Amino acid sequence: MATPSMITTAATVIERIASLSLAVITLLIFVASLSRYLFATSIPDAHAIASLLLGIAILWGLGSTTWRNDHIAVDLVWQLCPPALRRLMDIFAHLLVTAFIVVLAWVLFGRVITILHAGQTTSDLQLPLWPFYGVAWLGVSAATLLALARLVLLIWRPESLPASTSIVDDAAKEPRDG
Amino acid sequence: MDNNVIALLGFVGLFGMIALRVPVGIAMGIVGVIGFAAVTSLDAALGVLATSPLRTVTNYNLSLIPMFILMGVFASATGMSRELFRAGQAWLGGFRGGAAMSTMAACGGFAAICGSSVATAATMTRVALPEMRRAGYADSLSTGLIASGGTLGILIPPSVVLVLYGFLTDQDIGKLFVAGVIPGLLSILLAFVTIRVLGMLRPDAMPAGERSSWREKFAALRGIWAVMLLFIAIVGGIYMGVVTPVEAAALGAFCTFLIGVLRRRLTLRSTMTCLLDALRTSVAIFTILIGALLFGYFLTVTQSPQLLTAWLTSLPVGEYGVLLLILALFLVLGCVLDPMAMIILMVPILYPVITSLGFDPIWFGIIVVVAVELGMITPPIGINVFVIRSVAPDVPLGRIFKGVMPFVAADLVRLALLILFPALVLYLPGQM
Amino acid sequence: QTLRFAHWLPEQHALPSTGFKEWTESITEASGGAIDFQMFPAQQLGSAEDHFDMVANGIADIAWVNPGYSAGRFPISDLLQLPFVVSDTLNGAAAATKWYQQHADQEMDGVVMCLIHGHYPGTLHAKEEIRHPDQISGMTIRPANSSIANFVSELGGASVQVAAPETREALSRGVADAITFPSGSTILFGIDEITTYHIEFPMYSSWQALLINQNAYQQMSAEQQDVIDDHCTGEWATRITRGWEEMEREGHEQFRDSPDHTMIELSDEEMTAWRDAAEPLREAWAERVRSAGHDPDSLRQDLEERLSEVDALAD
Ligand code: NA
Ligand code: NA
Repeated sequence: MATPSMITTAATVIERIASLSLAVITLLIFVASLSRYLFATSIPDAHAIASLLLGIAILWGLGSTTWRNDHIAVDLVWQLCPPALRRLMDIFAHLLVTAFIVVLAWVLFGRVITILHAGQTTSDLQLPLWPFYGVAWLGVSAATLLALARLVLLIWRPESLPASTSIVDDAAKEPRDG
Repeated sequence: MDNNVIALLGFVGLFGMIALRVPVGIAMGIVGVIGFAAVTSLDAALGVLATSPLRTVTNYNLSLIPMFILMGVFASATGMSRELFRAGQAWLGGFRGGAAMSTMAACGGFAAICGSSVATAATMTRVALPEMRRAGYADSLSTGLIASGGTLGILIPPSVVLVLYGFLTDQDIGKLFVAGVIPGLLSILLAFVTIRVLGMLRPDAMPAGERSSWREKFAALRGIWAVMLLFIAIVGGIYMGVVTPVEAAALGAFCTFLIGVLRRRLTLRSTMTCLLDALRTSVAIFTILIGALLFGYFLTVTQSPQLLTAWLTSLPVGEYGVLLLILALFLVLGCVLDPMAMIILMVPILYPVITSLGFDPIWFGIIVVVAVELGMITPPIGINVFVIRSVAPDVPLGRIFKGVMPFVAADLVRLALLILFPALVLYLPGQM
Repeated sequence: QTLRFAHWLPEQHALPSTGFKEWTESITEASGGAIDFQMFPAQQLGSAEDHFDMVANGIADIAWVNPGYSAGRFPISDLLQLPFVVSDTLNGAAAATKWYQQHADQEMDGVVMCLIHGHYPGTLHAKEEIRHPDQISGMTIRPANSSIANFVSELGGASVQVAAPETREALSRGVADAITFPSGSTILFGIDEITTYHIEFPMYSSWQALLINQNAYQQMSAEQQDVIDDHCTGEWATRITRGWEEMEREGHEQFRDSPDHTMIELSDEEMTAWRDAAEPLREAWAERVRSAGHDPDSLRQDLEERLSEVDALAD
């Protein structure tokens, strides 16, 4: 059976690929605006590809965020509760997270199939869209596995998980949001 | 069941889940899908779930968010926050409360290249708190000041919150950015006044530092050329219309990266860390955004926001009465909700009320940001206060909240000024 | 039965406030109040690009859909989106509706294709005089749709994607040099203050279809279906678009009359040059349609015959 640390490693690898996608988007938009400005030519489909890569980046990042329980949550009540109740709340909350991601992965699969059959393409180069959405979907299915793994461990081996973070620790680790 | 009852139950369910520590975005998404199914059909609700999140994460205009976050992360890793503080010290350090004013000015400067308040607060805590301690400032003042100064991150452009507001309300993001400049400067000015007043009340808590020579002053300015260049390229570029906001974000992130590499502060390894940081922050924001849109479609299909708008606009309190009511709601929610979640949840519901009362949408965007800024520093949930506490774990939360109070008062004054004199917000975008 | 009607125009726009209003009120009346509507304007139920899936999945019962927003998905309807196809969009809407009703089920699942219509033809609005397609090379254009974007790159120009409310800014600051748009909307967005040169030549029109969810239609009684059928005709396609058509045409005439604006009358040669420049787009369309398993020649011939009958063919 995969140990929690192996899962963390896998989650981080997925996340690193996602963050590279972020770098590509930035570079693509930068080069596209430069080429429009200097040479008055647009890079074909730059707009569409940047958008699709953004989708891939975010959906591939979902798994790690879920595994590390890094979603933005309000722990006002949680802080006031005794440990036993906290544990129940953690399980309940993560059960809902898992349910949401499982259903999302399921309907997105249908969506990718629809786009495949519809033959949708980008407008300039007529690249088929479904492979992009398919790759994005892979991120959500990885998130499904990570969410399920966390759920199982949360119930049976909570001590083996990456320490449950509060909003306070979260903010310290990496600056986020507004 | 009556649609309004369903909408009400949706809100009850949402706040219940949030209280049980279900992530805000997921809670909104679940209530949104179940509620949509209750009003229409399960198939339709799953159809929304299949289309809307995918559309949100592939929205070209929203690529601004990760790129502006990336820029702030690069800037921080490159040491620009430290240089800003040094320049502030060289020019303002000799006055009573000089280190405090330098910190405030550096917060404003860093806000000009960073789209996030939390990032601004975190980086300034690392840079300025040790220096203020060494100079003999009380911790409550130093941390309160940084918590408040950090909120400038979302008011002075670039701003992630203004991007979201523009996305949710279909307003020109360039105009929103430009509109934030004067209120941001006003905010620094009011903070200076607050510092002077505090200094007069308790002179011992606020020692004067050493004066710098003119040579040192200009030497320090040279250190911040990069920040100035970046700000001019981004906000100037948008103001002059040379680049679209999305292009400005790419330009800003790329150039900050380049400066970091040239200064040998960004290696391959630290660049990867920066990218990862920016991604994690972005995922957290997009998750909330996905949930909020699902929740929003549910509310729309119940048609209860329309009723709310009709009810609010018919209240016999005049349009400013309704505005104050809305602001009070923002301030109360800001006490307990995450700022990002609050804006994404409330703006789509309240925006139609504001426009039908005849208020300017750009102006309201800035007002919302100022209200959100307040929410970031007010107890019991003040995200900026938490950030400082976690960067400097030896300062108790209560002490930071105490130190922040004078600045809350200054923020309220600023809010009043912006409501009384909308031109402070609207003059610059009117020139575009 | 209350039907959810989703579109992505603002409520005050000429089409919802005239055409949609007339159409929905007429249906409610003809059905004796059995069918009424809940309007969801301005992308309230979903993004403009998703409106087809919204009506196919029952998120909305009726949706106003631009098939051109999903490139590659509805290749047959793309013929209408090409430049220089329909000259008279008012009568052309009736012809196009009858044409597309014959073919829509080959590319649209889960919906009833009620009608399809364009808007008063848009043209090129520029800051300087443009007469010949060769001049586009080296310019940046804000295209109205993806067909025009392809046209621009065919001509050696660059396209820039700017949202309609930000277009005025983009043009005045030089991010874009010209725009393809219907004239009235140009005035609506204040773009006319910057682009004072307009080509007097119907260049393109964006076509949108009114679609009804298949299940919603099948759940109706036979009488109700008859009412709907009576409102899904070529005549209604013309009627629904009339108010918007007038608004755009008035804009065009305003340019013609205004001393601040220059309406560029093209010579026959120049017109031919524009049409020839668009020929590769037609060939690319034929190729796409062929690879989707349809016969481009008969489709095109069918449309052109129907358009010629009402004198709406651009030639
Ligand atoms: Na900022
Ligand atoms: Na608060």
